Amino acid sequence: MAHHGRTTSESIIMETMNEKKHKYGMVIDLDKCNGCGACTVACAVENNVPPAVEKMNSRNGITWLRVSNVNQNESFTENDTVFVPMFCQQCEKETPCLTVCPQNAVDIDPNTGIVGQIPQRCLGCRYCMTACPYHARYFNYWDPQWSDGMKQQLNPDVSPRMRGVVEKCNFCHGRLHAAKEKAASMGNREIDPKEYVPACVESCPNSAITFGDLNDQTSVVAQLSKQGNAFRFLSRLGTEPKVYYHSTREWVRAMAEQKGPHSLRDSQFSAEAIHG
Amino acid sequence: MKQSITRRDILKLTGSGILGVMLSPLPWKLLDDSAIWTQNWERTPKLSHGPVTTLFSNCTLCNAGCGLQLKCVEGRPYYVSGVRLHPFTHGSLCARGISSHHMAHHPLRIIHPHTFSGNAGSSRMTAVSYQDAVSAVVQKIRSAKGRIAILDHQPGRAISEVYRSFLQETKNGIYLTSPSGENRTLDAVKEMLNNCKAELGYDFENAKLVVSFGAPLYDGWGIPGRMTALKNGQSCKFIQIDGDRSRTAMQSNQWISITPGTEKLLALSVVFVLLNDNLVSQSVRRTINDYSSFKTAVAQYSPEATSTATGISAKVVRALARELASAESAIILSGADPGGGPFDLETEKIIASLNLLIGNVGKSGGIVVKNNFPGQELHTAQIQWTSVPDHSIEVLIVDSSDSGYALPWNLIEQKLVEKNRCIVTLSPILNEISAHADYLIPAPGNFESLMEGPAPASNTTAVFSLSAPVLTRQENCVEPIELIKELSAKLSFALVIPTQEGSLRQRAETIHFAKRGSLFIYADQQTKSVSDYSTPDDLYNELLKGALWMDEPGKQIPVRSMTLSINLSPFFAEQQGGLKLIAYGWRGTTSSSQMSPIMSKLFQESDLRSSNGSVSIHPETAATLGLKKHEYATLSTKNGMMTVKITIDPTVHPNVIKASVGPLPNGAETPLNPAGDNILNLCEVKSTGTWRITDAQLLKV
Repeated sequence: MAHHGRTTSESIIMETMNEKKHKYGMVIDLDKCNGCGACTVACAVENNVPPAVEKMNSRNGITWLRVSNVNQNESFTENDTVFVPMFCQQCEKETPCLTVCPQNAVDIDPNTGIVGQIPQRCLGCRYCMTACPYHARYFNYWDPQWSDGMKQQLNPDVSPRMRGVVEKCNFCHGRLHAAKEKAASMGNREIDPKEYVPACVESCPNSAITFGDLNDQTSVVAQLSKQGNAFRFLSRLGTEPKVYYHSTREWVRAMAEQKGPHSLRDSQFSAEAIHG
Repeated sequence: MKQSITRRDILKLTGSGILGVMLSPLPWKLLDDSAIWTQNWERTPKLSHGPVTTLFSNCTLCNAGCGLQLKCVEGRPYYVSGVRLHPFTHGSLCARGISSHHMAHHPLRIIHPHTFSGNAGSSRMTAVSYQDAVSAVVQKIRSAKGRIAILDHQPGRAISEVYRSFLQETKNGIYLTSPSGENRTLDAVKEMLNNCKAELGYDFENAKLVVSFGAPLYDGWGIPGRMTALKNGQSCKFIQIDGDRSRTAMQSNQWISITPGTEKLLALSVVFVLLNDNLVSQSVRRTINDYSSFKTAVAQYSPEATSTATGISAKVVRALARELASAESAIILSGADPGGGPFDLETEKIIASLNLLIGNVGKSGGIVVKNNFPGQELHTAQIQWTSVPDHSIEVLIVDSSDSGYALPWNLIEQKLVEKNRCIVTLSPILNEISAHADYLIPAPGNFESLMEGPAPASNTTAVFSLSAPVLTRQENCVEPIELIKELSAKLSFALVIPTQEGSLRQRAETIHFAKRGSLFIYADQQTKSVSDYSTPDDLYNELLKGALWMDEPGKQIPVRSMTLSINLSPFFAEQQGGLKLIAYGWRGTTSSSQMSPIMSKLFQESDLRSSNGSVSIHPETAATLGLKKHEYATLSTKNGMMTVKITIDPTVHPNVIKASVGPLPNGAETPLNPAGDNILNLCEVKSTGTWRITDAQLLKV
C-alpha cells in the first residue's frame, strides 16, 4: 500500500532508514597526511588483500585504500603537494555501484550506512567499477597468492576473495562484527565506539583519519565534517559520500570538484592535468 | 486435416522454451551456485580458527625498535599494530612494521646454508652443511693475512659486545657498523669533543628549533612515531634544508631549497655568520681549542660568496644563523638518506660544529649525554668506513640484523682484498649482500627466535627490550651468536660466549643490579621502577612479555674543550655542470632489507613509492631531454648504465635525476636483483665515504 505517493517497498525502505541508528563516516585531514602508506598496508593486512602477482601494476592491482600524491603545478619553487587517501566513499544517496549491480552484490547496511560488497554474489561484470566515480573498486584479475606461511596468518575474521570478483573498502567489516560479538558477549546491544576502529584509522601515525558515527552530533567525526574546511570529493554528483576530507588549502578543496577524479589514481598527475 | 510442423514452429518452440527457462529461477540459480562454487575451490585459503590472543613484542627490523602488539590466532600473528602509550613511538608503526609478521614466510627465505661460486647474479648457489661452512671460515680466518671484520647493522646490543670480544681475539679485527644512519652528526660531535666516550642523543622533546640538512625526519627517520608526535605537538620549529621538496620538506615549518651537493657551503656560510657577527658566546669561544684557525678556514665562505652556488640568498643564510643563535634550544643534524647515504665526513663535521658553536651540546633541548648501558665498556673502537684502508679486509662476517639503510656493494668491495677473500652473511633471506657472499648461513626469521630490540642512536636514554619467539623456528637456522661461539671454539679463543638467552639474561641482571631506570609494560601501559623487581628473573620475564627498559637521563656536563679541526677541500670543487644522479630510499626498503610481499601495495600496485629502476625528473628537465612520463631512458654514469623508467615530478630539483633505491618493479618481494641492475651500482662511492651525488647522463631509448 502506498503512503504519500510512495510504493510499499519504498515506504519500508524509508522506515528502515529512519530507524537507522548509526551512519559511520570518516574525516581525513589532508594537511596531516604525509603519504607514509601505513594505512594502505594495514588495510591490506587486515582485509586479507593478497600481495601483487608479477604482472600487477597500478592499473590492475588491488588497493582498497590508495594514497595518491597530487601536485598543484609544475613550478619547482611554487608547487604544493597533497597526499590523498582514496577509497570507497560510502555514497549514501543514489549509490552508483548499488544501482547498477545486476546481482544485488552491493548492499547498504541500514543500521550502519556502510556500503558492503558481497563477493559470493558477484559475477564479475564490473558494472560497479565503471559506475564508481571514485574508481575505488578493484577486480581480482588473478587468483590470490600467498606463501603457505602467509596463508596461516590471514585474518580469521575476513573471507579471502578469489579471481573474478570485485572488492572494495567496507570500513573493516570484520572489525565491526568482532565488536558486535564482543558487545553481545557482554550483554550489550550497542558496541563500544572504541572497539570499532578501521585499520587505516588505527595505523595512521599522523592521526589524520577520524572515524565515527556521523549521526552522533557529539562525536568528533560529526563535528569535523561540519567544519568550514571540510569537503567531499565530487559532491556535485549528489551521492552524499560519508567520507569527508579536510584541508586549509583552497586549491586542494577546489581539486575535489574537478573533472576526472581518476587522475588521483595516477600520482604524477598535477591538479592542472585534472582540470584538463 | 493434415497438420505439418514447419520450420517456423520449431523456431517458435525453441524460442519459447528458452524464454520460459530464462523466466524460471533455474539458470539464475545455476549461475549463482557456480559463482559460489568457484569461490570455495581449493585455491581459496582456509582461514585459521580459534580464540584471538594478544601478545606484545618489539620490532627488530631496523634501529627504531618500536613496540608491537600482535593479534594471534592458533598462536600465529595475523595483525601487528603499535603499542598505544609507548613512550617513544606513541602507538605508531611504519608500513614495514605493520607487515612484519610476514617476514618469516618471505618468498626468498633461506632455510639451509649455501655456498656460492661463480659471478654474482648467476645461478651459483649450492647447499652446504653448516659444519663444512664453519670449517671453511675457520680455515680462512687462520690463514688470513688481511683483516677480519664483522659488520653489525644494529650496534649496542648484547651480541655487539660478543662481536667486539671475538674481534679482539683475532688481533686484526675491525668492528664495522652501517656507514649511514641517524648517528652521523652525533659521531662527528663526539670526534670534535676530543673523541669523548659518552653516548649522545637528540633531546627533540625540549628543543625549540630543529634544522635538518636533508634528514628525512618525517619519513621513517629515527623513531618514526617519536618524530611524528613532535611534529603534531608543534612545540618546536622544524626547518628542512633539502634539494627536493621531499615529504619532510613539505611537512616542515620552513623549507629552504638548496642546490643539491652544496650543503657544505651553506653550513660553512652559517658558521661564517656565527663567527663574524659575534653570535658565538664568549663562554663557547673559550672552549674551542682551534678557534683562530677555524675562523680563518671559513673566512672565504661568506653568504654572499656561496649564494650563487647554493641557490640560497645571503639574507636567508644570515636569518638562519641569527635564528639558530637566538633559539632557546636548537638541534642541527645532517642527512643520511636511507638510500642516498651520508654526506662526506667534512660536511658532516661542519654541520655538527654548528651545534657546538651555538652551545647546545650537553644542554636540555640540544644534543645530550646519555648514560652508557649499565656495566658496558666500549673496549674496541668503532671504525668509520673511511678509516678502513682499501683492499684490507680478507674475511667479512655480516650480521643478520638490518639497519634499514642501503649499503652499496661498491663500498664493501672497495675495502675487500681482491683475491682469496671470504664473505659470510647471516641472513634469513637471499638479500643483495648475500648474493655476493661465499657462504650464506640462514638466520632465524622475524619472530622465530629470541631477539634483542635495537637501541636507537637518536634516543636520549639507553634502552633494552626483547622480542620473544612467536613462530616455530626453521630447523637449520643459526643464531649469529651460535656461529661466533662455534668459530671461537674452533679457533681456540679464550672466550666464554653465552647462548642468546644467556647473553640477554646477563643484560637483565646488570640492569637489575644497577637498579637504574624503569620499565614501560605494554600489556597494562604502565611504568614500573626497576627497583620494584625483587629478582633479575622477574625483570627478565617482564621484558619477555613485552616491555621497554629506559635508563635514567644522563647528567649533562657543559662542554669544556673542543677541537673543530676541519680540512676543507678546494673552494666550490663540488660545483660542476650537468645532470646529477641522486639516489634516495625509504628506510627498510632498500636492496639489503627484507620486507613483506604486501608492500607491493605501495611499490607496485600504486605509485606512492618508487621501485628500483624508476627515476624522477622535473618537468623542465624532461622537456629539455625530450622525455615523457613512463618512457624508458638509459641512465649512465662512469660505473655503468641501466634502463630506467621516467617519472615526471615537479618536487624534484631541476637538473637532478632522483633515482629510487627500492625493490624491483614487478616483484616487491625481491630485494635482490640478480642482474645487478641496482641503482646503487651506478652511484660513485667516493673516498670521503659518500655516494650521494654522481654525475650522470639520461638518454631517451
